[in-house]
Amino acid sequence: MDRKSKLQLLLVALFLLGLMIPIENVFAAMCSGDNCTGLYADSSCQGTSGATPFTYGSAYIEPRSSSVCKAQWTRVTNVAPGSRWTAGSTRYGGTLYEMYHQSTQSASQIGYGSSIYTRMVGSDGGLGVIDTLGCGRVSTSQISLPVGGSQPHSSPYCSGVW
Amino acid sequence: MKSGLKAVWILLGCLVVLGLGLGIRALLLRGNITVKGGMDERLVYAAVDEFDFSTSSDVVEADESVPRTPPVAVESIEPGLDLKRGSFLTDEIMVQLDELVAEETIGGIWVGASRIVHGDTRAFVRICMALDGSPERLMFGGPIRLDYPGGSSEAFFVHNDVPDERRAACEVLEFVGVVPENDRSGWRFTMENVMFTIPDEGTECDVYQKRAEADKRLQDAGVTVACSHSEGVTSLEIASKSAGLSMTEARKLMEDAAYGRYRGPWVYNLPVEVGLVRPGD
Repeated sequence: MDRKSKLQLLLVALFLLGLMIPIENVFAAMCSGDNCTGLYADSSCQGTSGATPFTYGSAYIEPRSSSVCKAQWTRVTNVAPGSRWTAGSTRYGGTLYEMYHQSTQSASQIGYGSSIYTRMVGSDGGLGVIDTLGCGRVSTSQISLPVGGSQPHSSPYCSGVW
Repeated sequence: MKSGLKAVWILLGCLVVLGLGLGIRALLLRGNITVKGGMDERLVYAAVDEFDFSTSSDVVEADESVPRTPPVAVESIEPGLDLKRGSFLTDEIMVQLDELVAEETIGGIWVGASRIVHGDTRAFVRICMALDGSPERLMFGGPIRLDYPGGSSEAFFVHNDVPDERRAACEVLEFVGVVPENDRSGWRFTMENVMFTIPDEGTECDVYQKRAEADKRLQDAGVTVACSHSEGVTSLEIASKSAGLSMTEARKLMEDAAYGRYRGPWVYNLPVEVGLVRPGD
């Protein structure tokens, strides 16, 4: 094998090595649909309001969605006149959204006007849309997760209608 | 010398090819990445502090003529229950809310309010807010309360609206569980605060830092802010402050600037109109 062939072989080997190196995705920019499930939205998702946002018990609860990432999540803002624990859950699956959740809680009490948001739930196969409920609460003590408990469909802390 | 140069070229070529491979790999994986840290879980309900509405005496049979209306008794309805009936806002109500009938400027913040439109268990009011000379868009700030004859409500849907002629941000608030003793008098809308709109996901620290840097109150107090964002939660900390300022005061100044909190209250006694709602829409 001459020197030129060896060089070509080396380049091919390196190319194949590059293809095989595992890449851990941490950016929502690289996800779509199902593959966004469990990731946090970033600016590339260009989130917008999904279902009508609402306020209950000093929590401003926004079901959020992205047509770019084909995913949904929930953002919760503390609008109580003081710092509060703040938690949100995006509920899905089962017969009444009770089976799965993506939940986030602040690490401590956060100030009035501050927000948290949950990981995303991707649309099924990137084609259909998985039905979700956006749930949120603020409290002076830590909040049991998931928000919405065992009956999220009837919880006032969760979006959606009967 | 010549052979050394050749070796450098070969090394560079190798790196380019390796990078090409990685790039193609990333493109192939776009939209098909292995998810790390997903939280799909089957649930264990050990401690759930939720209401159980299944035995509520307020729930009665639905009227079959309005098939999408959930079963509720209008004479007594808890706001949390009423939220589950969804929004009743219609185009006709939007027209009724168009005119602003009250306004007040407090601390440089102008807030206008429409009349109240009431129908079924809902009361609608349109509010518009503006801060002169600021490019920031405002939104409602809690606590917000609607007092009506025989009760009050603090639970509401929020409908974003188009800006009015003053380029103010407007929202229609749809209060739920509103069952007044009469329809016409004693209605009062109270909003304690307003704040800047919430930044889009992934832009929080950029936005909060810019607001903090532009805030004269923070500059005068010598406060600088450090922001970090991780896993859906944004943390703001005091990076530096003047010696005479307590940490509590500094923190309040920082949050006022970053979240754009402005205090009122704006309190309006508003006229009421009857509106045609469409339950279940």
